[in-house]
Amino acid sequence: MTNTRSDIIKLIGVSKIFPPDDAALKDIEFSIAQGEFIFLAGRSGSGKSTLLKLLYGSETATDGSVIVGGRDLSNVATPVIARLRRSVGLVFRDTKFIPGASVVENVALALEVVGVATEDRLDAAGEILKAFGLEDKLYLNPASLSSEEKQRVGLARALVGKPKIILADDPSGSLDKGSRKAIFDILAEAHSCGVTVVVATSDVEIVEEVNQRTIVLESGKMIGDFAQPA
Amino acid sequence: MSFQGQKSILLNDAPYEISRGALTRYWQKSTEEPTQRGFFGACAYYFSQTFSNLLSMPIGSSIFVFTVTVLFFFLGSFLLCLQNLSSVLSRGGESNSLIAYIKTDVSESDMNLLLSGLDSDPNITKVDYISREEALELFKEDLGEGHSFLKALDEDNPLPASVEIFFEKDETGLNSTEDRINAMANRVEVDEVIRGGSWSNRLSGLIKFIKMVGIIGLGITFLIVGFLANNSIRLLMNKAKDEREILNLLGASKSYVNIPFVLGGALQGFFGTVLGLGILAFLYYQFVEGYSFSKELPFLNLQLEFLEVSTLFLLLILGTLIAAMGSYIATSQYGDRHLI
Repeated sequence: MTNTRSDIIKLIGVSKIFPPDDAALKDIEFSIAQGEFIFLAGRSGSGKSTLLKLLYGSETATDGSVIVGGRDLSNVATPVIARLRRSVGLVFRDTKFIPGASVVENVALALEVVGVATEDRLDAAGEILKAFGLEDKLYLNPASLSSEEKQRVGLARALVGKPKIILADDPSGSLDKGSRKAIFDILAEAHSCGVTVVVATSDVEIVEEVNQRTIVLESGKMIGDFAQPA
Repeated sequence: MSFQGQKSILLNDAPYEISRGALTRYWQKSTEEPTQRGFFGACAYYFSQTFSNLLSMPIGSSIFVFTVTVLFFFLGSFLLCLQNLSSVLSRGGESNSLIAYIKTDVSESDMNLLLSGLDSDPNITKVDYISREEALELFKEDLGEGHSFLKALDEDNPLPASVEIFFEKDETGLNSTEDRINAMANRVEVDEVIRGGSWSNRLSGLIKFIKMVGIIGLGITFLIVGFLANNSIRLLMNKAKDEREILNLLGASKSYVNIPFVLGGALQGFFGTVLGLGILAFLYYQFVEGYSFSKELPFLNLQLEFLEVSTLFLLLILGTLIAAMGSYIATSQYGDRHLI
């Protein structure tokens, strides 16, 4: 694949071995250009989630280099990883919310950790939730929302700080077909805003429908890097 | 950048509950940096988070505060007793007297020489000489007549002569009672020297012992407070495990996540100490202050005083700091395992 933009993510000979001898990833090597939309596809246990964890610094590579935003995460201090995460939006299949906080407060959390004043962060959170069709859910407890709504709230939290990268781990895994489309619509729009989107999924149907560059993993090995068809 | 018109990767038949282009408008809307909350805003955040954590486990937090209250009530009571006992002892020591027991083989002329030397000492205000015979008489008076063994004492009096010496009060502090006892004990005529006022003499040893017990008690109290703070904060962190993980994933630093917990431990220690010492002060001023003890302990001339402000302040700082340290250790040992 040819691109004129700089790489925002680069993996060089990355392996991850969990003790005692469980190789989750073996010699992974690829790069992602800024503003690219990419799928990490593979069956359950193929290493997709581990690879995403390496990208947001939750795990460290046993071998090789994981470079995100120009920094090699193999040898950076934890404050650097914390700063990196502020420029990355994370989306999970099991949406993680603070139970005692309302929907808008949960979304505003992403701005709270970067020190945005209360009024500004609640305004921004309210605005993005309205954009996602959740204007009547702002003050509800997230537990009372449907699966799709929860995922949209998760996406709102990931996007409220206007991150450069979105890392989504099976964001539509628990959703029906209609809801999946809604979620990918948001991801697509984020992509069109210039955000680099990396989605780990085992849903072949969605990969085919969205039709973007796809890296396929199998048993921790990279078995294919399929560029977006022209 | 516009969403519409770009090469679409959208799915067909997507249920557009979400208005197309709304995210793009949000993205493009503000180029201004959002307002940062600043130092006071950060402090407000940490304190509100701290209270929220503590209120999430009201019973656990209350038990910790109550335990610290009880510990500091007893510690304060102990220090109060110790302080007043020391005060009584120091007043007892103000008599500056000592008793020297004279060897039985000292001749009368040597004894007279010793007494005249003491009389001429400008630092000595009074010398009371008690001969062996007078000592025996006093002993008999104390015991009461009629004891058969007293007759045996008449034949062979074992009691030594003694001299009670009263010194000028030493304002300079250069001549301690201990120095004077040592000087007297070194004289060849003297067999043994003790501090004047027998109760004061005994308390001197007791007070050293109590002080030692006090230091150990203080150490144990602080260890317990630190340990309890550690456990209380562990429980709070365990309850807030998901919240801590979410904050961490969103880019919060370890210190950002941990500060409310350390602050929580410190606040609990602070409130526990304030309550413990406050209750002690209330009870003291309500029931003890102004009571003279003149009937129960007429010889002591007790003038009770509450703990000094500096002592209270020190206890407050120590109680708070130890609890904060216990909490900090909890966040380092336990909390960090769940972060990054």
